[in-house]
Amino acid sequence: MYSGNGSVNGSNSGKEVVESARLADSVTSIAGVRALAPGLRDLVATATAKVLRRTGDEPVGVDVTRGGDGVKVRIDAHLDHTRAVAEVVDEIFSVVEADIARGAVEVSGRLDIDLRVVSRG
Amino acid sequence: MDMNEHVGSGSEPDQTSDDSQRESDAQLRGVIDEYMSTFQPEPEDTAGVRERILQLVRDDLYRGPSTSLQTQQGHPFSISTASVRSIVRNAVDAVDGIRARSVDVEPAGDPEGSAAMVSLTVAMRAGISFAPTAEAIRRSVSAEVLAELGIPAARIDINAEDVYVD
Repeated sequence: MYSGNGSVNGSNSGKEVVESARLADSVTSIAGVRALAPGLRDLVATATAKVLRRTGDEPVGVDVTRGGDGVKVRIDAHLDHTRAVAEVVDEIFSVVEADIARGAVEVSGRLDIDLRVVSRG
Repeated sequence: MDMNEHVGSGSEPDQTSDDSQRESDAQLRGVIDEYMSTFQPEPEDTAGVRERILQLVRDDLYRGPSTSLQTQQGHPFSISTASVRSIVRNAVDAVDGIRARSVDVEPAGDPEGSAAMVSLTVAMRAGISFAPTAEAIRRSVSAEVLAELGIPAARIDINAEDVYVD
């Protein structure tokens, strides 16, 4: 888990969904990222659809959630073979930090980036 | 996070601590509550529905064991252990007369995860000399791990456990 610090404010689930979608767009544009695995919200929507027989939402693939002491960004990524894993990981961190710096995600307090490489191929 | 798994089963449970399991469940419950608050389910649907959703999500979320590493720039990440093993196995199998059997990969280095420690067992073709072949395996694994993962292999232990005849 990576931890950094940010600033600013704000918190509601609608905003987090929008922020998650912004980050997902940025991350999927990185060379070497083949796709994003469904995020927690996607999995919950799909499970709810199964249990309650309702339609799911559009998959996002990144989860931005706010807790007591800051913001957590969870990314589960599928990579391809075109670049070394560490190179892609560094670029993902860089892109997320750049998005936060330009205000695409509001961060107050601690920033945790939880990045998992689900597969490579 | 699990650090040391053996090839072969591919279905061993993730050695997640109880604390991280509780944290994960708490986060999941938060997401479920948030999602459920966006619509009004029928009353007959609400009994136990959150627990059923939680179980389904837990099942979907399990992605197999993973290995915790970090880049030279200090960015931590976890990667499926199957992916790491695959890289090592390809490097071993590329050496003439050698077939990979089991592969273990553990985080190593300072800070931990900035390098990898590899332990593997191999089968050798009959008539091959072990010492020079072991060095060839080390070179191959070291180069492949660095090229594919971007993380150096700090140590590579090799154990020849079988001999085969073509």
